[in-house]
Amino acid sequence: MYQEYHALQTSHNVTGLLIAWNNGDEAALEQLVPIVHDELHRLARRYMGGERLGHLLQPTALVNEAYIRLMGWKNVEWKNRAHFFGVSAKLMRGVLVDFARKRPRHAGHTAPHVSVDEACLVSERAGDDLVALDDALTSLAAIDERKSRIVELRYFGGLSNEEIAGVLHISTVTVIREWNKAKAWLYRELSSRP
Amino acid sequence: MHTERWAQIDCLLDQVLERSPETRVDFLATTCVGDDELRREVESLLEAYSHSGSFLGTPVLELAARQLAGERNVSLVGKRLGPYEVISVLGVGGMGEVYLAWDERLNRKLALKFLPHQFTRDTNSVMRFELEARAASALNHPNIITIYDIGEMAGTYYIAAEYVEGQTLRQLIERGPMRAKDALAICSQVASALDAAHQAGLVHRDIKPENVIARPDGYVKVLDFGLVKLTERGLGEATPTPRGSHRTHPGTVLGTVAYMSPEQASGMGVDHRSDLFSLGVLMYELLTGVVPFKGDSIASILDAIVHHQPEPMISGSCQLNVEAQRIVNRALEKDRDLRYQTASDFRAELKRLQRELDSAAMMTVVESSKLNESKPSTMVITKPVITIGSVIIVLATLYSVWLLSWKEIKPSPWLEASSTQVTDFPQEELFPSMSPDGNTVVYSRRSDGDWDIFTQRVGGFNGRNLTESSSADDTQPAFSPDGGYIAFRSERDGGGVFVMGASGEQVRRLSDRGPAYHPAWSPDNQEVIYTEDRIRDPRNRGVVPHRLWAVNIKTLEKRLITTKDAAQPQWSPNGHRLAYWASDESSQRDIWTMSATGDSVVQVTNDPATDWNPVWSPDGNHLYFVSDRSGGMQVWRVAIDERTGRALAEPELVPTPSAFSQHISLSRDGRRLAFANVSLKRNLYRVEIDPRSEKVIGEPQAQTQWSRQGMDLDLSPDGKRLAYTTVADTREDLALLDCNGSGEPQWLTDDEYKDRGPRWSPDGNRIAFYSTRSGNFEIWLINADGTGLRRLTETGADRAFNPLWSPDGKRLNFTNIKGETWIIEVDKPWREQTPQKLNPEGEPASRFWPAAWSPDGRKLLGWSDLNQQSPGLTVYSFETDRHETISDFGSASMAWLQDNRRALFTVDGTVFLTDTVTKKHHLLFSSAPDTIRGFRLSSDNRWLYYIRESVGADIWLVQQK
Repeated sequence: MYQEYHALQTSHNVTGLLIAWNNGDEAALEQLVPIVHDELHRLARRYMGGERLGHLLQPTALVNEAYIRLMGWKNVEWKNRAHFFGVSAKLMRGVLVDFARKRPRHAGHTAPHVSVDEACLVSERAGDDLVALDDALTSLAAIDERKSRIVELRYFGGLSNEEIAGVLHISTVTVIREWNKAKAWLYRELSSRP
Repeated sequence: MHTERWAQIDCLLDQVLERSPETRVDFLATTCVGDDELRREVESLLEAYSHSGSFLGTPVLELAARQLAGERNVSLVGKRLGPYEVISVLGVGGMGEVYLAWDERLNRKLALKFLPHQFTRDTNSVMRFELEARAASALNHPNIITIYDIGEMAGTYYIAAEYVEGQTLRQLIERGPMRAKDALAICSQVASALDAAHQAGLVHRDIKPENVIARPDGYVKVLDFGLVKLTERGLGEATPTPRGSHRTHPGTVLGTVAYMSPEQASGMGVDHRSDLFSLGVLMYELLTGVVPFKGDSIASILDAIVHHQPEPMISGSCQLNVEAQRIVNRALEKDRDLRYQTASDFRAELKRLQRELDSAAMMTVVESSKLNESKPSTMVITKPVITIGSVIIVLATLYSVWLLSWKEIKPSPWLEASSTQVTDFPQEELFPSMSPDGNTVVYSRRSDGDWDIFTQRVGGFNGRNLTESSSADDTQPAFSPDGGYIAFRSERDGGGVFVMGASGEQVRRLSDRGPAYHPAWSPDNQEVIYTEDRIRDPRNRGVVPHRLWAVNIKTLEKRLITTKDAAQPQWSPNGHRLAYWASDESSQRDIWTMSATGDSVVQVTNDPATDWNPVWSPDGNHLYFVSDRSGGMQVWRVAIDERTGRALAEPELVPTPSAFSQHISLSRDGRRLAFANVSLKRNLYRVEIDPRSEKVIGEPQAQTQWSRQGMDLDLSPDGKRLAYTTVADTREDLALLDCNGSGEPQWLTDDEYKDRGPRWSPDGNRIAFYSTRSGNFEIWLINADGTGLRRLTETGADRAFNPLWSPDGKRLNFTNIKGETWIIEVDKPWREQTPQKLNPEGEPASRFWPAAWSPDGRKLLGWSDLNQQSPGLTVYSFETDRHETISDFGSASMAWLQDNRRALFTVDGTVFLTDTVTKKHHLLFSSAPDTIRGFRLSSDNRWLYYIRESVGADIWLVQQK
């Protein structure tokens, strides 16, 4: 009950912050992080706690639901579906990388420790995985904006290839090709880090 | 980097990726002439591309969500759970987390899957699942993952299963459409798994890319049989019916739903044909990169499955023919009565198409309109109505399926075979090779002191000596497929592989001088392959790498096939593949195949049993081999796809009247099998020697009458007790025994690991040995009373063998897989060690195997093949840091006398005494034809203890009726 109330109370605030952040106000992210974190945490617990089945735990659903609950779909003037996905993936990237960046200073905090690569192919050398990935992704954006967006939508936004194709108005085959090349580029970047 | 430059790289990378891997290097070289930087850039990206398969595989949010929710997947890594040590996370999926773990008891890696609580609340459904999972695993099918254990730990259910190194099909699909050839190979393996399961009455119900793992060698394994049953109840609740109205989340991806059959989607009863539909979906997706039934929501996907025809398969990079489309269409029939009725039907069609693909090596592109003309793209199918009639039809179909499949399982023709003893000479007759007509056998036996090759008619009793004129040993004869020639190993003229006419005429050398063994023919009689490794006892091998060569018998042109370990190679009848056996990192011996050029290596057996001596059946449908998998040494055979070299079923026993069979050979009609029937005994002996006169006093005395076999002995410093390795089947344990052979052996270890090379510490309190108990071989210490077991080395992939104590007992040396010798301090933990490498700068030390420290601790005596042609004894001096060759013969078993100058060593059954200064050797005594397998000298140099191996072997023949 309290959580629902809490979410309702914050929604207005979040919308404002999000719009500010999307318009380039980096400070807004600072304030968004704990709110989004709490909401994600709560939702994740609910998903994992058995209220829904594992089959239905889909990242996109989780992000979307987090969004809808935080801001209310109707409260925000989204230009289109693509805009919505794009912003949500970007926010997730911001939030999760911020967690990772601050982790050492927040001992005991339940910030996620997420390995970029579960197979540990790179992680040994990549150190702070997500932070490193974020940096690499920024470098990639400088030379190839589209690839960087595909990675953001897929890895941070949890979108499928077909969804990404829809968002970026390109074919699924192109998404797959670009994604594979982006992965190779990032892999090389991360494995060559000292 | 500038954007324009990147665009250039990116575009080139696309072009390169479109090419087959073999042609990429050449393409790059021509395209990038004059621009090395461009070439380097693309090459490094290609390299990264090849490694980045599972990289970024799971969206970060999914991992984050689980961790936020307090799931356990981070904390478990590094923890011990019962017998399992969790090594790393393999993946997180809808059905719980999967970890890579180590089973300490059985010394193997495994995958550990924890089931989420919500699926395991209902004890009945857990039990049902367990029954089904075990039943599927019990099928022992090569394409079904093996379940080791299902249980409960701290309130959570887990499944411990075979660990398969590879990628799920989901990960492979991520890379885009697959080559038709690969997709067909995968689907036909999945069909084979389903066939076995369906025949046993098991339905998978959840065939999807996540549930199939492809190993790098092309083998696929189907996971999670029965698992979906656990979630069925829940799924029913959570999955809206296709007709129901419901809310969907934008962008929700429903992995599982897309693979459902129409009957699953409409909530009807499911039978085995549901799996065949799902396999059809999988095949469609593998070929095109997209699923056939798409939608924005669960409802729209389910609706498509039930009512819509999929788009014809058209893909930019993958050419498909009508045939593939027809097979997919049939599998995706809405009405299950119109689908393939059995997995084996489905598989047969796939195999046929595979074969066509192989022979045509091309596929015709088909216009989509042509494929489409018979059916509208959207077709409404009326919902099938179950009537009693249709149930009966289904039952009747199932019954006929059962009858058909029953007929297909043929009993092995070897079950009804008769056996004949071909030779009956004292001592050993080995290496039978049958003439193509099956009427003559050539083999080796000792005659007038040396090994000769004999030819003998089956049914006759006298062999004719083909190599009488040579006083050197001639062994390992191999009939050419046309019966005109015999290739063989000979020790004459520096040793090597030779060839002669079938009556012993015109002997010619084929290989260079030196190590060249186990010749085998190409099916066209043109080439002979041989290896540098001589196999006497498959359980006892050196780790020095060996090479596999082929030589043309006319031009004598040699080509190197591989430097991989490939023992006793045999050419397949179609000439495309070679079967061989090899030892892996943990000394497991398995059968493998590779292409005739040494590529595309495929593992045929994978188990702790010693599998060796592979031989193709003349029709290429079976691979025969020798294995101790059921105790003793028996002949086995496994159905094999000769073209790919992959096993098609589990091995089956070929019964022979022998507890120990080896050296198998088949007649051309495949109905006669010749082999050597071996009887082997190893026992402890001792003999008194006089070091002054350098003579033996009295007769050697047997100390034991062992049934278990002993090897690797070492004498306690007080001369009263012996430590040795006992070998029984796949086990190797350490035991202690009083020197006079009295009393019961005291077992120091009694487990599944291989424990070898026990060496007493100079103070007699401890024993160093090497063991696989931590995975790879490492050095361990144990007190002589069996307490205080501890690990001394942590070399990881380098491994550590053959520990030897320095005479002061403070240091210990060992040898690693690279052949390097390292010295460590015994009482320091591994972390504080500064291991010292022997002879770091000098000659290539990788060929020196130390066997004994001199009593003054200044020298190491060892075996070396620095001189490859004639390996022998070498002394390494710590003072000069140099090796000195002592002899050009000898085996690895040796000991110093107390004078620090003289030493003993063995060659087969003979003990030599050598003076390391004058390098003069003389024969001390011989137990020939028996072999001496390791010996020790008491510290007063009066008693010599040794293990004497006596072998008898006769040639036998088994003939099908």
